[in-house]
Amino acid sequence: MAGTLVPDRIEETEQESRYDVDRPWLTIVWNDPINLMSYVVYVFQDLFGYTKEKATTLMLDVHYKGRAVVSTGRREQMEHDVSRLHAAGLWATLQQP
Amino acid sequence: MEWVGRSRAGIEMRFDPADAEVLRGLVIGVRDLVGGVGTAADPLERLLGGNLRRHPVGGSVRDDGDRPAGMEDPALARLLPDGYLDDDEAAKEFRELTEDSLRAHKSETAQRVLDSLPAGGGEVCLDQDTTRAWLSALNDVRLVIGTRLNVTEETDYPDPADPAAPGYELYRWLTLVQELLVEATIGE
Repeated sequence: MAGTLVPDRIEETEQESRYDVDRPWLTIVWNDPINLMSYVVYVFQDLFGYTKEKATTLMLDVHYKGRAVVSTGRREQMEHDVSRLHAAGLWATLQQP
Repeated sequence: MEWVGRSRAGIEMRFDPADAEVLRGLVIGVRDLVGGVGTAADPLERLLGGNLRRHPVGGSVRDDGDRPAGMEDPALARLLPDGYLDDDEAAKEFRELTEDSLRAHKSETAQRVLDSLPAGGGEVCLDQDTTRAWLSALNDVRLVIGTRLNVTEETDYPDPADPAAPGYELYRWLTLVQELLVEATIGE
């Protein structure tokens, strides 16, 4: 089965090189028909310490544009943010632009 | 639930016995769903008399055939979503790292609500941490029911004769409770 391992390894290498270690990652929150607008504002304030104005602007972006970048930084930190958003019930993902 | 207010001690709510029983049943349902208990006889489904329609969730999670193992239930997939959209390998790794703790967190959050809500109803007084648990657990219950009802931005509430009407009534009540609790929490 050694033959099947070769493409796997190539794919894995490509996978790793997809991401640039020097570029920041983004945490994105996606629109959701169930989460209340007021609750989303509360979560952004509670998790990130944002002002009510900033949290409201982000919530409105999620609602009207379908998504908003709520934090940026190192990959590990963004994975942490996504986990906390999932714990609060928001639909969040991370990606490198 | 008839009333939400603030006092020095925190946020106070009052539930009549019937509402307390319904809410406890739903929170137990979510706790058991994330705990992998009793999924064969779903308590949420039982509570609603089997009138919930099971639809795949449009857009918010992958199609049925493409879900990670154990995530065939759209409601569970919504509670435990992928962390990456376009990278299956990274999504799998992320899930391996975080899913167990996320399940445990949601289960503990649900239990915290059950511990603070008397089975016979009455007054509930919530400090800051317990309020956070209530908001999160109410949201989880709404995510499960809303996903099972296939709620969208344009959802109209059905005719009372519709078999799904009790489910929508329950969803609307939970929305009201959560909305009042958020308002009391942010103090406006």
